This record gives sequence, C-alpha cells and structure tokens, in this order.
Amino acid sequence: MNKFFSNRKLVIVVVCIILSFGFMTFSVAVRNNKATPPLIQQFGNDIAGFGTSIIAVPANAIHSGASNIGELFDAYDENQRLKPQVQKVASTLVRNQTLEDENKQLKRQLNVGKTLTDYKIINSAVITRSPSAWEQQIIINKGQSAGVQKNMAVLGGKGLIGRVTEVNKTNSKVGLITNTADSADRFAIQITNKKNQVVNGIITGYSRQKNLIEMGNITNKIKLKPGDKVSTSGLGGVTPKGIYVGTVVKKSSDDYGLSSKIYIKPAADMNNLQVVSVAIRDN
Amino acid sequence: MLRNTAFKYVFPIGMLISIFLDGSIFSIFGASLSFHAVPNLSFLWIFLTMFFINDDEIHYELWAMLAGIIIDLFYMGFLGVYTFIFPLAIYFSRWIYKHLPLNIISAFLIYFIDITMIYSLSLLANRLESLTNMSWSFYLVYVLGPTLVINLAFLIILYIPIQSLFDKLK
Repeated sequence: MNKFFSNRKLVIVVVCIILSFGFMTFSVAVRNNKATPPLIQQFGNDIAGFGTSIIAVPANAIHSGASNIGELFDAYDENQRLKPQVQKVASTLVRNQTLEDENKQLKRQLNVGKTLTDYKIINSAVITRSPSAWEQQIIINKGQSAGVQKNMAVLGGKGLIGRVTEVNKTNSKVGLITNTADSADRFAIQITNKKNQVVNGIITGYSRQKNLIEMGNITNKIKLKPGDKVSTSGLGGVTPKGIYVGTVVKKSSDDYGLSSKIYIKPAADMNNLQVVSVAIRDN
Repeated sequence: MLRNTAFKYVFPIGMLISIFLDGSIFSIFGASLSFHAVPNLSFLWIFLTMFFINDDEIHYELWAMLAGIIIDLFYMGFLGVYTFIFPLAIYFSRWIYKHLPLNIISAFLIYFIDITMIYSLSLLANRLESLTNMSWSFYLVYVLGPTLVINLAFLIILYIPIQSLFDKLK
C-alpha cells in the first residue's frame, strides 16, 4: 500500500474529500434555498435534457411496444371485468359535472372566490429517471417556460407522486414521495374515515421494505380502518387540496408508544411513470 | 489529449450516450421490482476504454471527472459525489491493472471492486450529508447485490463488442 498512498497522494486525497463535502453542502444548500439553480447549471441541464430526450424517445417507444404486447394478453379478462364499471363511470361523471357547476354557482353567490381545491394541471412526459437507488427523482420535459415552479405538487397515474425540486428552462426534476432526504418537504395530508371524521397530519417517512408511506405523530383517537382514503389537505405551501394519495393499510404505535403511526399504500405506482401532471394552485 | 482522430470523436460521444442510457434504462427496467438494479454504463465505457487503450497520454481521470459532473448536475441535482468517486475508481483500476494480465477475468475482478467502491462511497457521502436514510443492510441486500449482477452482466455482454470496436479504431 506504500505506493498507493504516498505522501503527496495522501494530501490530494484529503483535499478531494474536503472539496467533495464542500461542494455537496454548498450545492444542496443552493438547491434547498433558491427557487431556481444557478444559470450555468440550468443551461447545462437544458442541454443534457435535450440530449437525453434523443435517447429516451426510442427507448420509451420500445418499452411501450413491449408492454402493449404484454397487455394484449390481459385485454379480454380486463374487458369482461371493466364492462359493468363503464356505465357507473358515465353516471358518476355526469353527477360530478353537475355538482361542480353547482359548487361554482354557490361559491359565486357566497363570494368565496377561489378555494384550496381549485387547481390547473400541466401535463408533461417523463424523460428520464436518476440512476440511483436512494435519489428517487424523475426528470420531466416541462420547465419554467411552461409555468412550472419549485415545490409544486406532481400527480401521476392515480395520485400524488411528489413535488418539483428543481426547475430549469425546459425541464425540471421531481422528487418522489419515496425520497427520504432530511430536507425533503413533507406533504400535508388528511385521512377521512367512513363516518366523515378527518385526521390531519403530514407524511413523515417512507418504509422501503414494505413500500408504504408513513404518517407519524398522530395523537387523536379517531378510529381508522384499512381502506380509508387519504388525500392532500391543502394546508401550508402550494399543494392544492383533494389530491388522492392512497389508502390506509394499518395503524401502529410509534417507537415510544406515545403517538400512533399510520401506514399508507400510495395510489400511484412510482416505478412505472411515463406521463405526469404538475398541479398549479389557482389562487 | 486524444490524438487518434476517429477515437477523438467516438470516445466523448460514447460517453454522452452511455450517460443518457443509464437514466433511460433505469427508468424503464431498473425500478420495476423492489430491487434497485442501477445500471452504470457511463463508468463501464470509461473503464473499458482505459482497459483496451492504455495510453498514458489520455487523462482518463479528467474524463471520468467530466462524466461525474454531468451525472451529479443532471441526475442528482447537486455536485460533489460522482465528480470525485469516478476519478478515484479509474485511478484505482489503473493502479491495480498494471499488476494483472489483460483478459476478461481481470476486467471482471477490477470492475466488481470498482462498482462496490462507487456505490458504497456514494451512499456513505449521501448518508453523511443526510440526503437519505437508507440503511446499510438494505443497501447490501436490495441495492448492491442487484446492481453488481446487472453491471457485471453488462460488462460480459459488452466486453467483446467494445474490444473489437477499439481494435478497428486503432
């Protein structure tokens, strides 16, 4: 080992370690505190985003071709199962529309204006994903020029998937809710049980082995059952109210037995995202 | 830095393509199970180039650092992890490579150590900066194992094609 760690090299190694942590601390601080990254980084990321979309388009085409063939085999079974539900969906849609209109009229009469549930969406395609097991991030093809801003909530598939962590001109990074950074923003969520009682709280963690979201520090005694629906509460920050998060799986007490912890199964499949929408609160 | 004209273009373009392929492959196949098999074609490309064209004139550490900076800024969103780990791994492989014969077995062995080193050091740095709370036991079972399997498979599949490519370019 004498040759590998000669005196001069040892100095270089130490300097590199210090520089590495210096860079990390500095750039993480910039990422957490600034609305957009420095211009030079934005420029580089935009070019890289353009480059990656050249690769991503054929790759995604192959992927969707393969999965289409796979889905073809299940199509008959699914069709049988879904036929009865289609009628129900149509009537629910009509009812939804009527209620939405009525809601709008009532809001106008009462002069409440926009509330927490009003939001617009920007649809965008997922161009790539960070190749890292712990940095759970996807990169989408809409940025500042499309109106995306930092910290906006992102929906994918059936529900909430995460929030925008970095915005460049033409692409942005989305940190998934399965990300476990200490500085990650927590979503304010609420659980409604069958009796319409509401438990408010925030997402406090993610259990990797079970693939469940954790909602900790719950002290009230409202009874929750597996299957109760979880949605965002719209309190604090820019997340709108009423975005579906998932369903309750189980409730257990925390490590010290003082409060309880609720495990939530996320509705969206974080591992197969191709199209996502960024939610912009409308007020 | 890169004298041979054909090689001058092939190496940087291959590096960029392999960096972008990493993300695409991971987004399509890598995360579909609870195992996290992270492909690392960008390092494989630099590693195999270093392995086949052992030219002291080419500063592989600097190229590795460039690849690390692109990965850090574009994929991770912060600087300083792969920027230093990639050159370290290349430096280490160059050092150990002088003592071993040039064949696929020694490439396999060095690459095994490199991948283990890259991901372990990167998790260590991420944990020290509190960017993740992944435990070492989870890492060993669900991340390092599958990652080694997929990357060594890529090495074995791509060894001969890349060797013949560089033989043609020489």
